[in-house]
Amino acid sequence: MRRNAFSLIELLVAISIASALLTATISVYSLFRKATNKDQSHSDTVQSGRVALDRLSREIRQTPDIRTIFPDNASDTSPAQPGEIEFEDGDEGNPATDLTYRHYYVTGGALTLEVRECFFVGQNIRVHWNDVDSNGNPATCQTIAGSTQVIAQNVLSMVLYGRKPLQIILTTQDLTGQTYVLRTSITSRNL
Amino acid sequence: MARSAQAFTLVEVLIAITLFAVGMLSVLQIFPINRRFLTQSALATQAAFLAQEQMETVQSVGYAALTPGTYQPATAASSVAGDPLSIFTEQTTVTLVDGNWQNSSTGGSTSATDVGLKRITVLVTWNERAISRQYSLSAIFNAP
Repeated sequence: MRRNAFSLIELLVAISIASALLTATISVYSLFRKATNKDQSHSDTVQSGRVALDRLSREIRQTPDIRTIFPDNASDTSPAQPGEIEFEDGDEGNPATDLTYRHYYVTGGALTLEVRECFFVGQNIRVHWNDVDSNGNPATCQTIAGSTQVIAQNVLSMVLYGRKPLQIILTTQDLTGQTYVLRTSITSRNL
Repeated sequence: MARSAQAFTLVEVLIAITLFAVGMLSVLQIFPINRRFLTQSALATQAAFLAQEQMETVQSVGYAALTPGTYQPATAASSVAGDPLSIFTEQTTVTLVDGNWQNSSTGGSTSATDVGLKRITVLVTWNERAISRQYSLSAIFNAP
């Protein structure tokens, strides 16, 4: 009878081997998860920067007017680094209806875009931000309702220098705090 | 009291555990490899943007001012200490191009015939884990 049963020792050995195996497997699994999350976050951050900079380059290349003024280089302090850019959308058909300004800024760790439009008081024809009406009154600009959208996540800062060419330095940061810097310059074709 | 033939011996169990551990370790090796590829592609992306920057800057100078030859010798992309971009080196070459869009035989010198086409080549090089890597961007620029 006793021959078919497990002894206490056998049982204990089996349990300890099984739990050791289980512990090993679980810790390896959690290591997998941690590494995957970290790598995913890093590649998202790189991707985010690439997408944002590609998009900015394309739009700035065709803009006819950049409203924001930037310092010439890192040692130039006048004007101060704005960390944002507002420029005329170069993809407009009819100025009276399509003339808009694209304002990119960094807020809450995201590169955000809002589209702005400018009018003379009491009129609904879109004009340039620096236009003055027949009475010498300047145009007033406002953000188009519902136009605000996040372009890229994980963005730490956007630094811009010069005008033609315009240099953009975009810094993104992943969940572990590791930063990633992308730099490029764009010569606007229509400025 | 003969031992049951169906039970595992200790040696068998130990061999099984060892095999399991070896298998796990080999799977774990994927992560450093994956990390290396990530770094590689992140660096290549930075290099591509730097090449684009150089290309835009050179083109903004205008056709006439682009002297054939090594327009800009190999220079660090950033001279600021601690800048992650300082590991990149950029070099720009301008070559005169003939009517078939081929480099003229003496295209790298000013004496070559200028048919109104110049090829701009930007070469970005960097070292990654002691391996030299490069990204090359080339464009044909025509006289206005």
